Amino acid sequence: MGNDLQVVCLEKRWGDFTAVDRVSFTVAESTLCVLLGPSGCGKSTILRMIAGLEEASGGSIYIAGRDVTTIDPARRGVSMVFQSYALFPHLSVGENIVFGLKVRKIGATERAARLRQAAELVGLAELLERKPAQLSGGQQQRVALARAIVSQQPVCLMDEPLSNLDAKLRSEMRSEIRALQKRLGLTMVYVTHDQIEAMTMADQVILLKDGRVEQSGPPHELYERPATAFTAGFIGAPPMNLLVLDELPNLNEIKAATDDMSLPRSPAGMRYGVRPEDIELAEDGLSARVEAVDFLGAGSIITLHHQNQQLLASCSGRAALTIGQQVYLRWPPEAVHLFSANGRTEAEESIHP
Amino acid sequence: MKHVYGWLLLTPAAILLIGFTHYPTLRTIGESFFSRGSSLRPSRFIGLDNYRAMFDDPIFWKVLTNNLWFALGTIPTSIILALTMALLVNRALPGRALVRMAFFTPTILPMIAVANIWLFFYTPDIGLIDQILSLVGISGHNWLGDPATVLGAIIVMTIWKEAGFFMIFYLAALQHLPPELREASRLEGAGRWHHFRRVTFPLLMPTTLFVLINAVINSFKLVDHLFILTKGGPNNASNLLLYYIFETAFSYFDTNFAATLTVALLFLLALMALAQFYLLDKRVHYR
Ligand SMILES: Nc1ncnc2c1ncn2[C@@H]1O[C@H](COP(=O)(O)OP(=O)(O)O)[C@@H](O)[C@H]1O
Ligand SMILES: [Mg+2]
Repeated sequence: MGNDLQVVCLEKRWGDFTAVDRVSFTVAESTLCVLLGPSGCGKSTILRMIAGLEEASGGSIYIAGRDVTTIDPARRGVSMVFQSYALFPHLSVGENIVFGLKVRKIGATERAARLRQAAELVGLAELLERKPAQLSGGQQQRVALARAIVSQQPVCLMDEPLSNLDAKLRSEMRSEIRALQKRLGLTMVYVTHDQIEAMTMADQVILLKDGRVEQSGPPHELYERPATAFTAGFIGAPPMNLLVLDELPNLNEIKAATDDMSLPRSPAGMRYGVRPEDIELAEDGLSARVEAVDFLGAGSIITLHHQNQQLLASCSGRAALTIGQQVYLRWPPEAVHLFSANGRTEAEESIHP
Repeated sequence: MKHVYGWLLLTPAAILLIGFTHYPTLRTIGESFFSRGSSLRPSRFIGLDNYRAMFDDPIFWKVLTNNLWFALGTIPTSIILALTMALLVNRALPGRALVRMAFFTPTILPMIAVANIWLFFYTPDIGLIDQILSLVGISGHNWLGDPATVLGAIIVMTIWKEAGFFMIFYLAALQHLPPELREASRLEGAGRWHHFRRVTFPLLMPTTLFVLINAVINSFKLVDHLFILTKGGPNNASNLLLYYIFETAFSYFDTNFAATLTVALLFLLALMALAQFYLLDKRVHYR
């Protein structure tokens, strides 16, 4: 069992509005679980219910096998990093970090030792005397991190901790947080709307939509086997192309892209998914017109139109194409994902009739 | 050319400031070096004689002491009360808007109206206080007529009026504090009182300084209740510096001595403002 976290059928309602709807998942000890989803899908609400800052309307939360659903936040064994960092502006960095240890009446010698250790882990040892306002965004983030580490709680909760940082710092902090989590053996729940963070950091991703779990599993599984059109469109950058089969006058053209892979006979409302990175330019196949080429350095994103539908394709290097040019596209049959009218795959269909 | 334009823009503000602040101040200081003029003996330069007279004037010392007690009686209590009320109404409680308004009402009433309400409270025998006390068998007392109770009575009324005003500033400051700070300390196990002492109160220091300066200035500015309630009496027991200046200037028509007293008041206020800024500066600016 260890320090695992279990959420069972968790619910949150405000009046008639259901923000979190019967969400269940388990985070194994010393693993990192990412709650992923668009803004407003209930990620923060779930995290705050785990922390005890928000009362659950239904369901239970277990930490290390203990039911903590109605227990005081301070006694649940969780630490939290807030999106806004929530540093105390009048206290120095050092005082901010040991604030909780003082509240918990931990002796001065141990406090100093833990402070030193935490400050070194996050690279703040030189800045302990400063006030938060005298730090950069990245450094403030580290203070918040150190405050969570120093409490030595088994479960660490993070609510979009990197969203206020610039892109470069963000990728640095991503790997740093992941390394710390592994090194300290923390059980971590990490909230983000950024699928790149989820893909790079998570052991397990819980993808949420409108307060419900859309799909959960290891990142590669969500990428390779999206169970729904929503997952397919959310995971991966650029996102998976989803062609509406109804709107294509001639299905033979699309079959040509895959050596005549058979398609269902009644494609009403069906969507045909293929990832931009699986699309290749070829001599024959699906015809398309080049609308735009975005050169990103290591590769390019090509925006294409087939009939009235848009497709994105990514290729390495600089694509030697001109706007308006006619090209042919091919992709392997195993790259195709078919979603039925309600957005689920054929395989999922049989599970959710 | 640019300069001319700049000066033109400044002129209206400068005229007001000079006409109504700087010139009167200098004029007052000037007047304080002259004797009281009459039709027989015109006013003449007498150097520091007025100041000597002021230091020898027992009433001056009396009103100064009164003012000190008045400040000590009103300032800490009204600030503590203001902060307590602000913390109370900053929480989600039923009828919050109503409670806020109730706390704030004394502030929006004109001074004269307030004084009249309290005059009714304090009236011997038939006033509210005496009527309530008579229920438990305590006989009537002339609150405003007894030198031992008159200053206290004024202090209580002033606190009643000021606390709601200061509450508004604290309420505004409290609403600017991010709620995550409380959440962060809650996760660490800090109770309400601990959070208040270690986080909220220090973060409210700029507001406290602002309120404190206002409270000090107000305690020297009080004049309107005294008109209605006591006229400074009995026997100057409730007389305060500004009312004494008013009396000197407009009842005794000794404008030169009133100017001298005014200079003393200005000096005291400037001294206190400076002291507050210097002493509290270090503890206030955390940004
Ligand atoms: N205190 C609240 N009262 C009512 N609705 C709320 C409250 N907090 C959040 N919500 C709603 O719940 C939904 C989920 O919010 P949140 O968990 O913050 O989303 P996320 O963190 O995924 O962006 C949103 O639609 C939001 O408007
Ligand atoms: Mg959120």
